[in-house]
Amino acid sequence: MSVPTHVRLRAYRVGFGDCLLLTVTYDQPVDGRSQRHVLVDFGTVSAAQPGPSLAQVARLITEHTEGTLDAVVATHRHRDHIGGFGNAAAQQALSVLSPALVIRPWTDVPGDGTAQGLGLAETSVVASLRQLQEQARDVAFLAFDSSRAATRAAQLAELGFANPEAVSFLEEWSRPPSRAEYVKAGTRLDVAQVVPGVTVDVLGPPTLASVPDLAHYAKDSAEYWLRLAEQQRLPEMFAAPAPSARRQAREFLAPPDGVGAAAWLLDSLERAGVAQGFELIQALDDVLNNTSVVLLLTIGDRRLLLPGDAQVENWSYTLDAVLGPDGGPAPSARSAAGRLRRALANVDLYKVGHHGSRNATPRRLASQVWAARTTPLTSVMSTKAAVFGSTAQGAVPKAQLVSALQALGPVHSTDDLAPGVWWFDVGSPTTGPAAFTYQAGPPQP
Amino acid sequence: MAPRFSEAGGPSSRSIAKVGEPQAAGDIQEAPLNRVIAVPGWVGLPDADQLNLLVHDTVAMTILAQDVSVTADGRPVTAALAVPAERLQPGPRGHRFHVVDVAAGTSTAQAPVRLTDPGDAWTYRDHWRSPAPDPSAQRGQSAPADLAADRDFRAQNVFAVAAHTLHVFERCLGRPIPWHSGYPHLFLVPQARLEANAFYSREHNAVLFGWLPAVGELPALYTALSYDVIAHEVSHAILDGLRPHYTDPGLPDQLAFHEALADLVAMLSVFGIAGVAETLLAPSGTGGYLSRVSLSADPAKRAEELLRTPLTRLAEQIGRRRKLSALRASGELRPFTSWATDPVYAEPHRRAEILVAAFLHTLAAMWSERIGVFRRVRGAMDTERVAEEGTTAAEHLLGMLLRSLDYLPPVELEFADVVDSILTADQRVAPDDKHHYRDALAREFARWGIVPPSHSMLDEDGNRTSNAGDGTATEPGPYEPDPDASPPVVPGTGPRIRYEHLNLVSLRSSPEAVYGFIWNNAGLLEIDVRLDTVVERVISSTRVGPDGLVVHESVADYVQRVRVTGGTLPAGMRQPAGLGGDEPVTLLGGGVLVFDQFGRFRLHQRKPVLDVERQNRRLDYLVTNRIRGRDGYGSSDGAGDVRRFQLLHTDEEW
Repeated sequence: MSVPTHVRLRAYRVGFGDCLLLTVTYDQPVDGRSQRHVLVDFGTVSAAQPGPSLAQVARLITEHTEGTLDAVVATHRHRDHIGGFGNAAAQQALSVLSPALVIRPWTDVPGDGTAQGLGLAETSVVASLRQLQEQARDVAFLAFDSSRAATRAAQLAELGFANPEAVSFLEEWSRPPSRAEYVKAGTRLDVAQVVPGVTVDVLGPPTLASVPDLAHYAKDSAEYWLRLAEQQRLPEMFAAPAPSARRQAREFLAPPDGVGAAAWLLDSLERAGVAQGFELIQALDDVLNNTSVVLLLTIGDRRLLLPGDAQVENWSYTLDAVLGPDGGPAPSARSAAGRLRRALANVDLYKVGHHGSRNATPRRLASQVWAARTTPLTSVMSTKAAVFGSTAQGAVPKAQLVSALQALGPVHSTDDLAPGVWWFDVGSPTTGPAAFTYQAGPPQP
Repeated sequence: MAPRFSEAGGPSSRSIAKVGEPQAAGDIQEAPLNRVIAVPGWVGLPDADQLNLLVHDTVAMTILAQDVSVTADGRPVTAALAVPAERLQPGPRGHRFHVVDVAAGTSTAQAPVRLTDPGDAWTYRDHWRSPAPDPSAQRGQSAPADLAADRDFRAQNVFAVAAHTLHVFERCLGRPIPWHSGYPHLFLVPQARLEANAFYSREHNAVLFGWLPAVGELPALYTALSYDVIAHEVSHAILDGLRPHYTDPGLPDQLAFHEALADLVAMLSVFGIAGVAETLLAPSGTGGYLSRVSLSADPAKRAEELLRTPLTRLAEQIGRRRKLSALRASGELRPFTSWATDPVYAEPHRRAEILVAAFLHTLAAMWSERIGVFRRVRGAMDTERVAEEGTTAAEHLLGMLLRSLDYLPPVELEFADVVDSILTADQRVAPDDKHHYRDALAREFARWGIVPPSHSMLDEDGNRTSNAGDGTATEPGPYEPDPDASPPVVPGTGPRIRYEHLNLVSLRSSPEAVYGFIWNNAGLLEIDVRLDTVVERVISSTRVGPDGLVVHESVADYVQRVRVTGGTLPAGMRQPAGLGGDEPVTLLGGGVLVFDQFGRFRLHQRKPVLDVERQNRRLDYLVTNRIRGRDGYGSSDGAGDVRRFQLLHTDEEW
């Protein structure tokens, strides 16, 4: 039986997006091939400058896979993760590939999800997510504090809401004889036929355990905003005020004639910019990020953690399980959760979540799970600075996170590649101590 | 049983109606500190809904005692809450609160709500407490959703709970409390934003409450309907008026205290609602007349039982409503001391859990002590009496905490100062501590490693008081003492406080006069007036102790600032890694001077600006966490509300 001997993760320079190719090398050929390839995401919202076009990246993928891609993971439906699959020129290059396995989150299930055994709450979310696309057009009517916030909201809306070409391309790939897996946290995928010797544990996205109660509304509840969107009620609640509204509010609330004491408050609220249009769009954006597939791959002695853009809420399912609930006891070492904690603690390679944003690598992961590591953790980050987050607080990638990861081991970023270099990879033997070596691709002419 | 109502610190013991008893027409004279009456639906006498605001001290307003989703017999649990009586304008608007119903961002305005008769701002009418003869006509009898949907009721609810909360603080401190803004009113905006969150905003001089419209089977959610949310946020606003520097960049204890105080006021307020303690002790179906609760004969074990069942359960119930509430986990914590250096507890919300937990343990110990004399029958005690004692203990503890607020140092607060100030303030108003509450408090806090510093108190003769401190001696400062500040040498006597050249009347109200006092006594007070020293506030208070002892005092706060750079830190201070030599650093210190009614100096509670050990810890914390303002490290940076109270990013974020 063939055994993996080497693992390599290649990160393409797509700017603000993810495109990663996992290559497993075997001691003896499997069905005549000594390597297996898994593509994890392919998209960007802001290409690297200078850098390859999506079509050029697609051609590199076909070249690096030697025309045979075994599996593809589309972690979630944001454009910076799947947009490449919808790009016409890239599609042309990719069309020679026909992966045997397509892995997507349960929230992307085609149809209403009942065929896949989803519960009522889950099918409701699936239906709502589908509506988001239509909601994109409402964005223009929402209230924003500034044109900058409005622009940013439009960016976010476009990022998440409109990727039908990419989705249909992936669904084309999913047709039999290929296999489609719509995964959820807590499961182990059978990939023995596709990438033998690799164990794939799914850590996210979680399913909705129950309909959220009052305490878990809104920001804690993706479902709430989705359902509001579904009912077409967003514009009415977040709409920018008519020019006369402010004057009327004053006359109403600050007698006499709008110059009374409450006028100060109305002015103060207006000056501070507390319009919530942007927050809403951001909440919906978080909804999509939290549908990210989170995978823990075990290949020999190597462990790779690939979390897509999963944010804290998505992570909490796994972290609460392995660390014990807030303030509660940690699970015993011999329980399944205890074993998972050990596996997470021993991850050798981490694909930095959400391009290095502040809320996609939970602090608990670094401070509790990885704190006692004695071996280095290699991090791979696919990002582009200064695209999102204009303040130090909101910057992506976030400096504090990068420093914390650097304290654990090397951090390799696509943003640090020399001009003209379109990819780098990190590779390691699958047995013995982790020894990931970094290699940058050749400069392009 | 000890007298219950006078212990709360009110001027005298007053009557209060209990559930099922008829209430005196309209007026709850002076309820115990924190007591409201739970009334499923409504109980009262005819005409109780109408009140002349001119002739009553307080007015009973119907509010929602618990979350609208909690019902008794299918009806919302409402309560009559004592609110100071005053002329009421539409809003409602009294002289301290102004309800303004506007949606931030969209400027959607709703008409101000009138709680008084049209054309008569002095006649209040409680529409949700209408006459008994036809109970079905009462609006309070409606289904929870109907009551929540009544915008007028929501306006009354938020106004009444806010006004009551302020009233509780003011009674304990014996004086009116200003808002940070200096304006007489704090705005309450009941539907400010679409979110399941509420927050106090200093910038807007307002509490902005979030709400969410109903969707599908999820009912609408109004945070302005939740007693604990309102009490929590208004407590933030009150503390910001009392101690504005607690949100300046500093050690995490300060912000943690903000959270802990707000949480404790919220929780102890709910605990004070009649019936709540009883329900928690004997959950539904097991309570009722003659119900009994099993409790150990051993006081320590009994305290643990009380902590585990009613207190932790309530803390969790309330804590779940707020995303980062210290209440959520604090009930589960058991005493440990390593939190002080544990990075997990460096985050203010997590740190607040420690303080809240120490208070919950104290409450359990006080409660256990109070019921020690009760007869146990087959290991069980009468539930109602146990519950009553619990509410009394909670009221007493809340009173101890709130009365101490004026004694807290105005800057650089640490948890040790909290226990120190409580013990000192309580000693002043209740010298005879017959239930040994102070011992219980000191003992329970010591189990968490929170021990009053022995160096911070100085009595009227300049002697250090012999409290149960940690024995920490004042460390020598980085600079030689001011040679010109020594007290005059009077043959035959030791150094003592000098009152020469002082106008004792001015000393009660004038910062300049207090500065004159400091100037003449700088050496003895160990206040180095060569440094930037400002007396920020002088206030007078009249407090009544649980045994009726009336204490008149003047309290003056002073603040000292030393502005240096990373390269010119005072001797003994370390320059943390990451702090540039040219980076401005502001060191803060200050204290409280307490004078009695005759203008005599009584106490000095201080946080020396040149306490090198503390300043090193503070600077390390600020630099490590990159808490840097526009003017460098340690100065108030005008970062606005987000940093102050919203603290919205979770402890999982970077």
